[in-house]
Amino acid sequence: MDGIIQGLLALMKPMGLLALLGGTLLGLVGGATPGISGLMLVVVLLPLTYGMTPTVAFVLLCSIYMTAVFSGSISAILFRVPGAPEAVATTLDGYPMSQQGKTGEALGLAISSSAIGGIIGGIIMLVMSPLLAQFALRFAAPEYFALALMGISLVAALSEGKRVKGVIGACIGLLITTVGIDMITGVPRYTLNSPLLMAGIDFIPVLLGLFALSEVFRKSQEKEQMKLGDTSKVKARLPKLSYMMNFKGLIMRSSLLGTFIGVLPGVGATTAAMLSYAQAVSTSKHPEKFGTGIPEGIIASEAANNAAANGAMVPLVALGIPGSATTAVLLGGFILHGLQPGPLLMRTSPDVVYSMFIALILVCFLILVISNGFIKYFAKLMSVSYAYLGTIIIMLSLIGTFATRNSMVDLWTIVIAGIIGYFLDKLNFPVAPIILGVVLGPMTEENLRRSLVMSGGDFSIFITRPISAVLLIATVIGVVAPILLKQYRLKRIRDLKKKSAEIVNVDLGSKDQK
Amino acid sequence: MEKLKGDRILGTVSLLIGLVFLIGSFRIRHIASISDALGARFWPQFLSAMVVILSIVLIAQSHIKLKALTSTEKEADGFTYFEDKKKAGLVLAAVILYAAAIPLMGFPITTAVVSAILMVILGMKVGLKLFVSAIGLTAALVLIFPILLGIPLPRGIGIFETITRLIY
Repeated sequence: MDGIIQGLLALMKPMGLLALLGGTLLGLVGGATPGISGLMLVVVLLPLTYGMTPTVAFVLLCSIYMTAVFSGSISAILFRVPGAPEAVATTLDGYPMSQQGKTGEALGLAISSSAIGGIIGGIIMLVMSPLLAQFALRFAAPEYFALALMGISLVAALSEGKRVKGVIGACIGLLITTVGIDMITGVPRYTLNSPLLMAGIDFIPVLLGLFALSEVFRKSQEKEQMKLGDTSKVKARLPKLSYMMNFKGLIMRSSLLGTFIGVLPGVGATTAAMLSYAQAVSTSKHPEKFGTGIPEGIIASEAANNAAANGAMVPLVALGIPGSATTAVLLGGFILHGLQPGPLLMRTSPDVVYSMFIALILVCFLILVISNGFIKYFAKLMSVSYAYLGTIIIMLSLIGTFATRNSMVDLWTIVIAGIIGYFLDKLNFPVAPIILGVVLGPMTEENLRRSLVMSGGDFSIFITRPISAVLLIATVIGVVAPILLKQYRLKRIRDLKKKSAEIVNVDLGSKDQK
Repeated sequence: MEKLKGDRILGTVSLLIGLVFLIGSFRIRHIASISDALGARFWPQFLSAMVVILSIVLIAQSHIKLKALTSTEKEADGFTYFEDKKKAGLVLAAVILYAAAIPLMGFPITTAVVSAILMVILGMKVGLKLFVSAIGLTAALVLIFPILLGIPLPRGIGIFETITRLIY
């Protein structure tokens, strides 16, 4: 409680509040612009914070981080270009919803879900950081593998009606991540003796190619392209609280899932968003509607990614272990500002830590207040003819991709992924499983093999460790239960049809006799 | 309606991909030991085998379903690769040109040239507006990426490098 009060007092000064507002605005711009991410902004601004007090510096950086995670959904919904990797799952339903003329509703749902998910994650983080940190410590390679396997098993849910294609897509996504140097033995795989391929294939060019580039290819063919004014009147329509209460179960599940996944070091908000989306599909009564532009698709992704952004702060401050790439940069920031990262940070600098936590929650309220105004101006900026817009999207995607690793491989990857994405759309092939495979690939294989290193080759390690065993059992139930349920329902329908046929025959028989 | 002919093509392409990865996996050095029971080869082999098997299943499924269709239904089952081949193909060509030219011509010049090409393909008329738009977009991107964000982008070679160094 003392820490919270100290943090609040440290934040509620003019510079602290200015940092909060400035960070929110920067995060909105950076996250919404394809090619610029929250991570990039945090990396670039970190050295500039050297002259600031630690509280102001970290309030600024955390505000940028949290807002960028949300604002990636803006371009995802408007243009099918995830402005940040965390918004990839939002694209799946956000863009189709926008195409149906419900852009305002889609944006409103993204804003509300992000804010609610962020607030729930923030409160959990504020109250339970030490406990959550202990929970994170219990996760080792077997648990990470079981979690990744659980995520991959949800691919069946993501490809309802196209299961075979979905599993092929997931396997291809996983295969893509095997290109490069093997992390455990250092052996090159599929590198064609080229040093360029040694670093492997990153998921950002795959993402941008499959979504952004392929969309420009598709739109370039349309006779009636996006005209001037289509986005000029875009305004987010914040849903009423009573409407959001219809999704309270989904919001809570997604926020909690996002927070707990964010807490796990090295997993991140992108994985959290994908897993949350997949769980929303698998638990829905109408899974076939996902991907057509339904609110649940946006809510599941946005609530989870913002909750995960908060969750990622827990191992950072409680243990000195970064939960995501951006928090890894923040760790560097602690050292730059003379703070010692580690378990004692919360005790030695409670004002800094708790001001960060409170800032992350306040940003969610700010998102609710100022996003609409930002979206109005952002959409106006983008409401130009497609000759400009398509060119800007392509350029930002290409440059943003190249800027991530300064690798020509990434540039060619996005081109190839763009071609593939175009044809996949034509062939009615679900893209989400490929993305799931690419996102979860490294986590799956590395932790499988690390687990076997830990156990000396004994596979029982996955069952003898309680958390891993529970996750694996849940995975098996998740895969088998829908199949059994479907068989049971089909059997019931057959039985009912048989009974009604018998009743009709008996009736006809008795009428004949009369 | 399912695109069954498309599924056959898809199945064939994914079968080829699976086979390429499967054959390639045998070139991976296998250094399995007690400490790494599976080795570097297992996971790619497992996944590529899954892709091969499932692709065969997909091809077989679509073949069986197609056989069951009437001739009218078969005709209705189709898709076009490109409604307008020219435009999408040109956009693709411009993107490929960008990737190929950027290490040689550098970021600013390649961006300016390819932006102009893309704008023309996407419907803008050739004229002063096109020139100003392409230069303006390039200037904005140079300002954002190499200058403000400090991201090193290719400068090109020879004379192009000299010109790029004048800019940033």
